[in-house]
Amino acid sequence: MESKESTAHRTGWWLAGLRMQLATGRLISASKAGFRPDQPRVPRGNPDGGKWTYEPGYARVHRVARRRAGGGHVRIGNRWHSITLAQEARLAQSTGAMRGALRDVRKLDPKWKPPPQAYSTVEGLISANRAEPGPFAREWVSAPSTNRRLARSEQQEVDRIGRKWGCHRCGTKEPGTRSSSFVGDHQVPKSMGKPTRIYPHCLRCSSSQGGLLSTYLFRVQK
Amino acid sequence: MTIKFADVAPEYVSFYIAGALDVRIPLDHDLTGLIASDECINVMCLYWNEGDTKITLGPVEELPYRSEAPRFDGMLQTPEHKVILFDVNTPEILSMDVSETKTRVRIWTNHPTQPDDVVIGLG
Repeated sequence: MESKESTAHRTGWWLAGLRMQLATGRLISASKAGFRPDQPRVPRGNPDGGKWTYEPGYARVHRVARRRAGGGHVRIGNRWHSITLAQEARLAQSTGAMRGALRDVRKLDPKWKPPPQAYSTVEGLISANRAEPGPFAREWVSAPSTNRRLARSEQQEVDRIGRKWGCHRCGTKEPGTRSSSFVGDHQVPKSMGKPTRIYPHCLRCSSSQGGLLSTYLFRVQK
Repeated sequence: MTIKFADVAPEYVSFYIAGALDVRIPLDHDLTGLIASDECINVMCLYWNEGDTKITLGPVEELPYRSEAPRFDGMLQTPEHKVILFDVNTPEILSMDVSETKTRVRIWTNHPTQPDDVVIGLG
């Protein structure tokens, strides 16, 4: 027979779980379809009271299709992840772009696939699809406005960020360079525009990105 | 033919050797420092913020004698009778005309993954 203390513990766990579910529900509602909480609504008392509305300067309201039964989750690797409607829309958009790029890259290297660490989360997958800063990108160093090398203090900052958060693409905290410095990765890449930020890259990710970008620029874009 | 030199600091720690720009670049997933296919060789070099990598390109018989074995010795497709060195930002770092549609390439480096001195001998 369970003691009173054990029952109290179990009730406490159950309540904590319930609170967690409610908080998650509120979070999902808040981020639903990407609407901001301060987005204008039809005032209370009107027939459409509470519904999203349009005001100049705000984004227009777009109707989105109802989620299919059983939706709301996406499988990444071996695990299922919850996904919001906003993430679903962004993922679909980024996946379309990525499929085209992937098709082109696989014509050249049929075995190529992004490292699995790069998209172990929904946001990571969206980010990987867009060739944006990777899922481990948290902090960055401002890119020099000229084509100069990084000052010692700037490289030290890149290294500090790399040691704290890892390579922005794969998350490793081992840069792989002979000096143990992280490779500064320009975002956007110099070949695609004027970089404004520098994130830490490991040697492997830097080399891979260079090969893929070169292939894309010189072969696929031809 | 003369020997050509270039000092480079590639953005992505690699430059490529090929017979044309529109080739499939082999990716160095295992960090071997040098990986090749029939049509392209991917050579890793020094991180751009740590200095330049000196590249020497020339016919192997004109290069100074080297006692050590090359890190790479293989054939490269050169259908346009040309060997081009390039990276993502520079479509032509160096180039050299060759007589055959397949050219023997030998590469010496002074470090396995991040050399600052790369010597490329053709023929």
